Amino acid sequence: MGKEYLGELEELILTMVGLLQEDAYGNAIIKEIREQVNRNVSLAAAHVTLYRLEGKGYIKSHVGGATKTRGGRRKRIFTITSAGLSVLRAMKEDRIKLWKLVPQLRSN
Amino acid sequence: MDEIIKSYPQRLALLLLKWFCPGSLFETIEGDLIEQYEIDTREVGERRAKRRLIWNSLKFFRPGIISEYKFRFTARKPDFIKIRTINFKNANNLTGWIVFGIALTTYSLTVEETASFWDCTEFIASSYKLQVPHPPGAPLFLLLGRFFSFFAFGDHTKVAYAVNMLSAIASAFTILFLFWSIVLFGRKLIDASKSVLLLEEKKWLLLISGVVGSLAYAFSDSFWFSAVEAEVYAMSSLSTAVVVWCILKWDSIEEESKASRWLILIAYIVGLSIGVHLLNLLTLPALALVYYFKKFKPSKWGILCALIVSGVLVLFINDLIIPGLPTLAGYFELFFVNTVGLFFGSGAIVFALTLISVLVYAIRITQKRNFALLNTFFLAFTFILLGYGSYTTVIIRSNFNTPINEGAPKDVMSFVSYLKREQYGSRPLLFGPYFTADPIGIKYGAPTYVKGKDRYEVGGRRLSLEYSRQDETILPRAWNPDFADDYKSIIGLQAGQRPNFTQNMYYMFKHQIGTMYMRYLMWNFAGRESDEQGADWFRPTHWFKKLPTTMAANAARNNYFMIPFILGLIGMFYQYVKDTRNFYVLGLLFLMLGVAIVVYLNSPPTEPRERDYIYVGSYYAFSFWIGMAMIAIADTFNRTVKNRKVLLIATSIIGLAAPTIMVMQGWDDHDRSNRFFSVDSAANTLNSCDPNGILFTGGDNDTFPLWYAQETEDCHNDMRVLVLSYCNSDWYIDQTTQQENQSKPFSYTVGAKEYKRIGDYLSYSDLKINTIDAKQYLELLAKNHPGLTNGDQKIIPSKIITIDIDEKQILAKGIIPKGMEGFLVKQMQLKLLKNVLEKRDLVFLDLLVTTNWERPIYLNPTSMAQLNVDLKPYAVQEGNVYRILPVKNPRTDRDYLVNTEKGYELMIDQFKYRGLDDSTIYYTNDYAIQVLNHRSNLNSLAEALIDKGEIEKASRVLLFSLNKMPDSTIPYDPSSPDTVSLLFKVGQKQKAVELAKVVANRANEVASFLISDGNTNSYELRKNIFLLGAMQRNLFENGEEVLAKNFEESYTGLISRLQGTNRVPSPN
Repeated sequence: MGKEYLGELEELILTMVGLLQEDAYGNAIIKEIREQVNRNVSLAAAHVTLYRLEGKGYIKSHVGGATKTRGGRRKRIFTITSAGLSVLRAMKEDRIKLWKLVPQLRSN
Repeated sequence: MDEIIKSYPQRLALLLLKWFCPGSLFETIEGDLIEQYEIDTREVGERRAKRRLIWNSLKFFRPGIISEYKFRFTARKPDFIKIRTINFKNANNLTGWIVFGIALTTYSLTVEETASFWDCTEFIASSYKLQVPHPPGAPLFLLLGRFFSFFAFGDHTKVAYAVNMLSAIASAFTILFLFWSIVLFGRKLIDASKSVLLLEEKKWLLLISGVVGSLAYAFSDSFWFSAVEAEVYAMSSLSTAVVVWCILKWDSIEEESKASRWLILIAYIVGLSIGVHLLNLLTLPALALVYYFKKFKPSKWGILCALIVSGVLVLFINDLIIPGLPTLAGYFELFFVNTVGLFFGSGAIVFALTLISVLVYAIRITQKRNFALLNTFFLAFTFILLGYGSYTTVIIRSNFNTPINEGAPKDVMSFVSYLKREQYGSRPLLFGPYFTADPIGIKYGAPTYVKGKDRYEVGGRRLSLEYSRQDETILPRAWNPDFADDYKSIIGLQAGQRPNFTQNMYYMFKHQIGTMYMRYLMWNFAGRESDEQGADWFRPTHWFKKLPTTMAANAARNNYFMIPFILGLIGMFYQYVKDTRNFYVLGLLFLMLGVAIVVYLNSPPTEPRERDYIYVGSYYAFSFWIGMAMIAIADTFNRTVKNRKVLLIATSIIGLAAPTIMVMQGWDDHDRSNRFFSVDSAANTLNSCDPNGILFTGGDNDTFPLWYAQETEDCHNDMRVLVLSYCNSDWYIDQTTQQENQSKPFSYTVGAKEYKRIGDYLSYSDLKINTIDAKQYLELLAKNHPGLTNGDQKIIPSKIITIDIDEKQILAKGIIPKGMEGFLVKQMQLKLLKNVLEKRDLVFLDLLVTTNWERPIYLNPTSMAQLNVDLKPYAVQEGNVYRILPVKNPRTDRDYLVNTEKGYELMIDQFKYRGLDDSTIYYTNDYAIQVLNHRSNLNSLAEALIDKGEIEKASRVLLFSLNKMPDSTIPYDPSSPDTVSLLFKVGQKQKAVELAKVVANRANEVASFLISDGNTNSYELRKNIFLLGAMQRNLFENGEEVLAKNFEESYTGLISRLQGTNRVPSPN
């Protein structure tokens, strides 16, 4: 297979993981998505996407320390890998390239 | 979550999540959910937050969580990961379902459309109305059978078919799980063999070995046989296949808590399978070995320990849980009812509550203290009990007084003896006497209790015979005195000689393991000679032998050219060399479900039927090796055959040859389509009786089809079928005093209560009384008269029992067949045949006297033979049964009086002979026996008609017999000589000669072959020599001297050849 395909939600979440850096875990990611692009993503959908990205090697995860909130349950913290960063960058470049090819609408 | 989420539904949602979510992910996901809940509580209030929590949790139930992700956590070895790609998973699933489809199609096309012989009829009747079949019952099977019977949609002739389909479907699923299990074991073998094949090639090999192994099992003789009839063996095989698959799943999961769930599932299935058949317990040692290999570093002693522990586990379930818990409940019951004086059932309730509390406590405490292993144990124990719970339906249904209610297990006490099969007696296993031993005393065991008015009363004591120590041995194999002659001929003993231990062992290896197991194994994977009882497996020396036409045409003559067997050996050897551990696992499965059962059953030299179906579990294990042969062959030849594609295709072709030849050879003798005579013959028997009658039968096998016809197809259920051998039991006598379907209750002169006081036997005591009146005798017994007691035993004081007949009254009733009025007697005189009267004889006499000819009483041939009083002179043949009437047969050259008018109407106009003239249908020996009965009965009818001078009618009867049951479907049998001589008598000379020629030539051909084959002592040979001789005499007596001379020469030729071998068979 050639270049790995990245779905729209995958791309969004991968971006958020990159954006949140050390604080990227389930709740934080969906909260960020809501705030940044005003979109509701369910926790389950976010998790599944995260695992899929992890499977593809774009992010990696570790379990954080114990917390006092959230019933003492630990967080799974995700961080972007260099493969993830490069695929984001590649996608951005592709988009820009394509955008440039679209005939621009003239204002009035 | 306890401290935060207090309300129940939310906790439940999280619990559910815990169940399906991979354990390594659960904590962090749960944390996110709780955090979200806290956020939502602040933002939208507690109520909505709760609702959202449930939703959010449920949304996790999706493929990305429950299936795919776990790969990364279960992967162990490199090939494991690679093979476990989605790609292979789909192929594995798809191929599995294709194999399932092939099996299901095969079984659906060949399934019996009505009830099969033997226990199937009883199981179907019991399923349909949820009744209580013979101990130890199969309650789960019955419940499932009941469910399947709904698909008959009210057409009661389709019920049997529907219940048979339960077996077909269960068997197809067995094949599915077997396929997956072979792939899982195969993967371990490929890993262990360090094969140099490429990944894609390995995948292909795995699939093909699964296909070959599972299809070989699907088309194997015994498994196919059980797949198309309503017996428990198909369901039992399914549970074996599922637990084996489960342990392999367990094995492939690294994470402890998730893996343990598979163990608990196994426990539940084992529990459930108790309600089908106990065979499944024998898989446990193999499972234990899998457990041991995963959890410990294997060593010799370790393996031994694992086996001992697993053996203990089997005993724990088989001896402690299954009979032990109800027995314990029995002690509670006795204490609370008899000692404390509480109501019936109180002890059982207290016991159940105690047990439940102990289990709940144990599970909770082990969970709190984090004792994972103990916790798993208690959970597993609980799940076994839950599965075993299907047995409660036995007690529940028995209390509804169902018509079939064997052993009447209505309370804890009788339930325990039902479970322990006490009705059947036991066989010595570890220690006991040889068959030559004479008992030196009687040992009284623990008392048995029966339900009294308000307490349990001692019903009797269990008896066992005592023997002198020198007549006893460890592992007694030749033990049953009833089969003394057979033991002697197998072991080669002289009269009066006692076997020594070597001969005892010789019998075990030669007969029990050789004839009664290895022969069956070879039937399944090498082929079988025929469907005659005792048929040998298809030895290579017989492959190209020329056979007499009838023998060659036997549909069950299946030659697999040993292909499946040799493949199995290859796979077995390869696995032993490359993957020894798993070889032990399969080997143990193979032995436990095969030889171990043989040893446990300790079977006598002759059995009423072939027992191959018991050992299907070991054929199942063998099929794994057939599959693995694919890996062995491909791996071995991968250097010689450079082109891998050629290698794989060649391997596949060799492998697929096995199931292909099996299905081609096996189809005709496993196809049970269009056979109905198992049920038709039962209906014919019932329809031979007048309304409201009582028909005595001998035992299980001649009764079950009648029960089926009555209970399932509503045939003549105003009739009471009474099993003579059961009439020795008090519970059965009790049942006869109740209404059963349309049949009114019986009343007795002795009374059901007094019967309990009478022991099993009433021995003859010579009091110089010539005859005793039956009525008086019964009345005296009813009064417990001291004159009829000798010690604690009742006696019969005369060898002739009389019944006075009021001739006028009898004639007024109109029960005497036309033309037999002259045979009416003033007094019936019934002779004692032995010096003893059994309780069942008494029940028979009681009914004969007490019904006072108001209800017609019938015997069938087996019950006639069992009675200890001679009823033959007073029996009038009507159709398939003998009606007992006060008329005496005046002729000594005729066995029975025959009611010709009724017989003709029944047998010619009413009896059903569906499909007996269709030579495309496959009939086994069981059918041949029924056909023989019908042919003989028609012969008797024709003979009686000739006696009355109704020659033309007799001729019609004989031709009817030849047309309805022609030689082409069921070959002529020992009834044929009579048919020939009758044909001569009615002037059908041409037919007679034709028939005689067919039979005599065939007999000569077969007998001649058998002698040259060295088969000089078989029943087949005796039968054929008898037929030839009888035909010769017939022809001679009827003026066909030339032909007779011809056959005489053949006959003397055979005899002289036999004398050459020093073995002249007796004429019968």
